[in-house]
Amino acid sequence: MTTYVAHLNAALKTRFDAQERAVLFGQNVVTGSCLSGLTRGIKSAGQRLAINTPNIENTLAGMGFGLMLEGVPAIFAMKQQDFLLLGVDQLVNTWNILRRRNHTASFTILQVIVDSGYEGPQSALNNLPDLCSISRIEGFTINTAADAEAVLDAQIFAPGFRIIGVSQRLWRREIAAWDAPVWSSTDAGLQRYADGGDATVVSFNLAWEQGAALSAAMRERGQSPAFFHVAAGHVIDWAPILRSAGESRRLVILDDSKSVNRTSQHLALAAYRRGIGQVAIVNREVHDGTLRPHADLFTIDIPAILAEIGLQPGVTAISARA
Amino acid sequence: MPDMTLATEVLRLRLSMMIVNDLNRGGAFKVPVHLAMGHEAIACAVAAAMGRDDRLLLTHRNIHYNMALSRGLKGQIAEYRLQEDGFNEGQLGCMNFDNPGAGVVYTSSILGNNLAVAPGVALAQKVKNSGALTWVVTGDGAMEEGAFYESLLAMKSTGSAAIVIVENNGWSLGSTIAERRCPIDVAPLTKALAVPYRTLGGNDVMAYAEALRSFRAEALTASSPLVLEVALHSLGDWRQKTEEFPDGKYINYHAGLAPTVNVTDWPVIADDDTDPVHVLTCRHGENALRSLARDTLAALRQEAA
Repeated sequence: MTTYVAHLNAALKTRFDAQERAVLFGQNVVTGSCLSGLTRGIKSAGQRLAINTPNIENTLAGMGFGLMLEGVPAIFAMKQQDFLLLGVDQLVNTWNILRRRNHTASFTILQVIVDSGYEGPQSALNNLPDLCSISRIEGFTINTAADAEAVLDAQIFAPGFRIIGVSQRLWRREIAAWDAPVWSSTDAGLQRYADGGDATVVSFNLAWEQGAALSAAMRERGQSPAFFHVAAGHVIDWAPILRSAGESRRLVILDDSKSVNRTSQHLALAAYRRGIGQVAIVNREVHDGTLRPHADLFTIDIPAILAEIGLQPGVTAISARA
Repeated sequence: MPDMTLATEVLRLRLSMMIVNDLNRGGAFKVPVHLAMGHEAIACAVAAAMGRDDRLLLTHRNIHYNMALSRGLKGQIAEYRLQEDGFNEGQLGCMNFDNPGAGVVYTSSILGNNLAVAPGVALAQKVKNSGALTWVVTGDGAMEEGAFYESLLAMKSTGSAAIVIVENNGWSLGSTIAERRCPIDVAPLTKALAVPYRTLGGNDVMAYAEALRSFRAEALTASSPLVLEVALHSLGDWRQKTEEFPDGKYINYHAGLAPTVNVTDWPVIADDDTDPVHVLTCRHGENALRSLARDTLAALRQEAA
C-alpha cells in the first residue's frame, strides 16, 4: 500500500533531485519527522539546498520571493496552511510587485491543509481560495496519485509563484489510485476523470473523494456522469465543465472549502447565466458551532443530491429540506 | 586637487530632489513622493561602496538611492508622472521604484516588507556563489516591525551576507520615537543574534563611503548580516503658525511637498552637520562647491526640461 504522504514524498524528492539549483526550506524539513514524512530523504547536494529554518513565516514567505527573483527555484514547505496567515503581507504586497516581471525561477509554497479534525477553533483552515483571491495567486490541491503527478509536474518548479495544498486527512491513507484523468488542463488546475451524459459532477478543493463517491454511486445506479475535479484554488476557465453541463443539463458542485469566497461560486454563477437547468450545490456548513474540536468531515447525502438534480425520485431534494 | 566625485554626487542628489519638490509644488505628481533631503550622504556612499553585482532592497523613501544609482532624472520624473516614458513605464510610480539593472532588485512601500525579501536575495548569492552583497534599507519606524528581527534571524541562520541599513531620522510619520515607543537599543539586540552592529553619523559622504567598504568586506568575510544604524535628519521641515502655536509648530518632513525648500544654486538647507551639503564645505570649501552646484543645477535643469 502506498500512502498519500509516501507518494507525495517520492514525487517531491524525484523532482527536487532533478534540479541543478534549488532551495527547499522550512521548519523541520530535514530533521525530526521531516514534516511528518513529506520531505523525508530530501538532502542538500551541490547547488541544491534543503535547510531547516527558524519559525518566521512572514520572512520565510519573503525569502522564497527573494530566491525566485534571483533566479533560484524555491520551495517553502510548511506544516500548516494556518501558519501562512503570518505571511499574508508577502503573499499580497510582494507578489503584486513581482508578478509583473518575467521570472525564470519558481517559488512554491507547499503546505499541509489541516483537515483531519479535532484541532479546535484554530488550526483547521482549509480556505485555499481565500489565500488565492487576495492577490490572484494560483493555488492547487492534491487529492489523488494522478493529480499529485499532474500538479507537481506542471507547477512545483514552474517559473512564478503558486501555493500547493496537501491534505492531512488523507496523510496515512492509501492514496487514491483512480485511472489518470481522461483530460487535464495544462496547468493541472482542471481534470476530467470520467465522461458521461447524465450529469456533470464537479469537486473542488479537497472534495475529490466525495465527487468520486457520487460518481461511483451513480454508475451503480446505471447512470453515467461526467466527473471533473477542480484542483485550482483560483478562478479558471469553466468552459469544459459548462460544455458538459450544457449537454447533461444537470450540474453537481461539491466544495469542502470553509471559505465564503468559494471558487465554485464562480462556476455556479456561470452555470446560472448559461441557463443550466438543475444545479445542486453542496458546501460545508460553517458557523461558530463548528469552531470546536470535532471530526470536521465533509459529508454528502447522495440520494438527496440526486433528487436535487431529478435523478432520485421519492427522495427530498437538498434545497427543499434546507 | 581633491576628488570631488562624491561631492558632485551629493549636490546632484540634493538639486535633483529640489527640482522634484518644485515640480510637486506645481502639482506635477499624483503619486506620493517621499523626498530624502538630508539622506544624501548615506545614499551616495552606498552607491560608491556597492560591488558590481551587489543587490539593494529599498523602501518607500527610495528617491535618494535610485538617484545615486541612476543618472536618469528625466526618466525618474516621468515615472512619477506615470508616463509611458517613465523609468518603469509609469507602472510603479515613486514608492515602489526599482531598477534591477543597477542592483535595486526590489522596493516596497510596506513597512518591513523588504526586510523579509532580503534573506532570499542574500541566500541566492550564497547558492550562486556570486560574491555579491545584499544591502537592505529600513528605518527607525520599520525596524519596529517583526520582520526586522525575523530577517536578521533568517540571514544569520543561513549564513547569508548582508548589510541592513537603519536610516534613523527619529520620526515615523508625524511621531517622534519618544512619542510612539520605548527606546530600542540595537546594540544588545544584534549582539543577542551575534550580528555585528555599526553606526554612522555626521553626514560626511567620504567617511561614509570608506566605512561602508570596510563593513561590506566584514559582512562578506563573516557570511553574516551586519546592522548599520545611520543617524540622519530628513530636511524640509517647516513651522505651522496656529493660535495655539503663534511662533509656529514644528512639522517634520515626511512626504509630499517640502514647502520651505526651493530650487537654488546654493542648496544648503541647514548650516550644521544635519545637512550633508553643509558638511561638504568643511572638506572642499564653499567657493568650489558653489561653482560645482551652479554647473550641476544647469545640467539638471537641461535634463529635466
